[in-house]
Amino acid sequence: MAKNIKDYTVEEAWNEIEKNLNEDPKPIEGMNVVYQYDISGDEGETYQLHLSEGKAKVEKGTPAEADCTLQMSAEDFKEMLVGKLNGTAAFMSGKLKVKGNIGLAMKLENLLRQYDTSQYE
Amino acid sequence: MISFQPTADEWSFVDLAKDFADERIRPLARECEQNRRVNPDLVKKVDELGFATLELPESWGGLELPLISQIQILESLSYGDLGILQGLPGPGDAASLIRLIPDSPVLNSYKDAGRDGSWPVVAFYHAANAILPTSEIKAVPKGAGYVLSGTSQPLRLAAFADHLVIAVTDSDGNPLILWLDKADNSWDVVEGGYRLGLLAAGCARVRFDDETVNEDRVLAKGSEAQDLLSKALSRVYVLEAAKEVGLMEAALSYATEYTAQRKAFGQVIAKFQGVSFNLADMAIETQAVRHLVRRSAENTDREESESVLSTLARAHRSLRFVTDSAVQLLGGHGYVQEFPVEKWMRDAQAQVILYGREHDLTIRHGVQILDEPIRTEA
Amino acid sequence: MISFELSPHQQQVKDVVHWFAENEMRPISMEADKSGKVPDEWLDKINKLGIQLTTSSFGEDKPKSDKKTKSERQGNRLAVIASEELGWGDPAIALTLPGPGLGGPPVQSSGTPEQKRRFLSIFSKDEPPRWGAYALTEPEAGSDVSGIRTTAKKTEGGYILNGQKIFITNGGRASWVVVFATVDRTLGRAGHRAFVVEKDTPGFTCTRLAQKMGIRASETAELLLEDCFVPEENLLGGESYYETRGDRPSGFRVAMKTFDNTRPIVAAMAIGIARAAYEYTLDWVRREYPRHGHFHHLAADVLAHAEQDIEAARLLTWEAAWRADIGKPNAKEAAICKAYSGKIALDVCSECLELLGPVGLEEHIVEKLYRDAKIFDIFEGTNQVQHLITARHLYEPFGVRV
Repeated sequence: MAKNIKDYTVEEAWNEIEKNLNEDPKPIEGMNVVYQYDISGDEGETYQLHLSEGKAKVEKGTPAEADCTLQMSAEDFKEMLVGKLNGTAAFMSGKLKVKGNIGLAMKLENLLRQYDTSQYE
Repeated sequence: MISFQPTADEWSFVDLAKDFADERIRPLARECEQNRRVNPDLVKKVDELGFATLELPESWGGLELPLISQIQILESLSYGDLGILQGLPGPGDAASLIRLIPDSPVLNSYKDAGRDGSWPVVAFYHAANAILPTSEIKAVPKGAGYVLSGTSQPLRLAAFADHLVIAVTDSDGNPLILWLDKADNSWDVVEGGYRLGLLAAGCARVRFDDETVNEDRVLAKGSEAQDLLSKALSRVYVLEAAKEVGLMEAALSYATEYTAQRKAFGQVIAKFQGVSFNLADMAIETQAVRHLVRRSAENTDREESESVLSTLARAHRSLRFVTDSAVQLLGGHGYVQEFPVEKWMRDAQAQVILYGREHDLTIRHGVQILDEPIRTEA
Repeated sequence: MISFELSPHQQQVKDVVHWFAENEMRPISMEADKSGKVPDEWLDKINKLGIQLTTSSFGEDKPKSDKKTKSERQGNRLAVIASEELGWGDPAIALTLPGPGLGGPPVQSSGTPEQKRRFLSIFSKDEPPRWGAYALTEPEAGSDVSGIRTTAKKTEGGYILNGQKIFITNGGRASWVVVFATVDRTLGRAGHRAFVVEKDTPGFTCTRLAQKMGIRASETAELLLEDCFVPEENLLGGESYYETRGDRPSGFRVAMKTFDNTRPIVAAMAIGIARAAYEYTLDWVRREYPRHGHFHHLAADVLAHAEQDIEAARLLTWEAAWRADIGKPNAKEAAICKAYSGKIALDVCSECLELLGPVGLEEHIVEKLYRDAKIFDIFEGTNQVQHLITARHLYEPFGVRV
């Protein structure tokens, strides 16, 4: 059973992301991108999201070169996953920093919106 | 982080300069113009306060201030009187050259000469400003040295100069920068009938009559000379543009006060929009140029590629506009010598003549823009 | 220390908004100008992304408990950085972005907490796109705002408003409009009040949309108030706000004060327009013009001037925004940047059209930008008004009122 997003560790949250993306891969169809998240704070860790051939794979660390790197705190990351923190607002206020292709970052935001995250709230 | 806030040190220095400009410089403006030189007492005071060595390296006993700080101080001093500022003895424009190559052995005797705090006068000739044969100095290689002949265009401080910096392209087409000392080489100072402006600045032409110059007078040759000259002139242009902002501010300030008090048709003339809108435009231009100069200063301090040429061109154009407007707003009073604005307008025009040609500076910068590799955003 | 370098955060805001301008606004820009409308589907899409025209996106409402970083307020600087990119993208579309728009600042600065909540909470990415608007101008009162004739007559539980407003951006689609009216014309400015009039209020209609020279995709509405009842809860700030005490502002002051924040933003958009024309033309000249000779020099001259005018405008605008951020009065600087930017935006477009020649005449982005640019020297205070304000500040120390 899904719990509240706050009760997940960042690692667990990533597992949920991977699971959801693979269960419904339509939004990631045709994408061939490596996203990197530099999560800061207590659960600070770097994760990569590899999207290719309609599949999503989450990796810890930096096994591949990222097309787009996003930096944010663990807390903000979780809020963003459930749509409580709007990506655009996060960019503007500096809570979310992006390095590399901004278009890809915006695309990811759009992508995540397409998943139902109400079970995590 | 975008900020327009001077540092505390800059504030103090600027404050000092402002007071000095009001109390010591402005009152002597007409007298120095009349005498065609800056009063020695005033020169001494300027030296004491450290205003003469802002650009010189610390190893020379100078303050080695970044351009961003110097421009603020120069603005305040120029507010007193540009004519006096331009006539202050010392390294003049050559200070920027010294700043770039402080350890050159060619400069050793000059460095020693200035140890007591009073620097001998240097005038700077650069061929970039001279396009006509009658104002061109030729340098023909002879052995390891050169033979100089010809007459320069009018140079600031040349009438008092103990030293000359000569930046030319020699007859073989190689860029060259020479440092000449009156003790070792001779040249004629050609006085002219100067009446337009900056009359205390010692403008004069220098003439060489097949003067042989030894190789030990060579500061730089070839691409090194080109590069050095370009960098030095960038600094010079930023500093000159800053002085122009000071003069604009003086004219603006004076015109504001005058029009706020002068009555005509039953009211102070400030109430007429022809007057107040003109004044607003003067303020807008002054502020715009002030910011452009700051930007050029910041970029030049950082050695980032810059638009110094067009900044100077804009400073010239706005300077003419503001000083001319000041005369216009004072009407008949603006034209007579009882009021300072006519002198400021004359000084302004002389200033812009001495430092480049507006259209040329602008087009040179424009050509840089066109020929630059295409960037993805402005 | 004096510096014009962007901080990493400022650079990011610029980059993100630029991406949006280039990838979302530009593709629909020419068609929107042709049809005079921003497509509804597009507005829905970007509303869902949470993109709005509001100053509060820029970290303005950081919680006071944020003691870790004693960072300076940056909202105004960020707003002008973002606005320049939006203007670069398409000014008409920028003005049509959902959000409280120009109605935001008066509600934010003069509204009661309850009013702020009621009016500012309706803009959400989880709801359909909505707009706010600001209605001050009338057929007989443009630059001379003190001459407004829309009346507000006190009645049981509220006010009855009568009058007409013109040139109101998003006036027809807005969920609410901040309407300026007078409770007593003989009181002059002291009689002005700001009301929030909600859409579909009986007696409040949008009578027509104006056809314009430029910013055609932006809705410019005429509003009619005929015995329109506005409840007292919609008087911005409530009755007590306008009580005549020495320090209490009138509705007039409410209107005027917001200009100090909005003028730099409008100036920034004008700069974006100029920059768009300049960049296009620079690129085109590099590819199409001869590399030497007469036309090469001519173009160099024009482009160097354009580049500099844009830079000067930007620095003047940044100064106005910076002063607002650090809490310094900025009315003079706001007037200066608006006067300068509004003027050069048109000049730059015109010079660019000269370089483009007849090519620029047909269905061309630069001719559209030229038509878009003109209004920026007119609205938010004409060039002449900005000169008047600047002059007023110059003469103030001498006790002369011009």
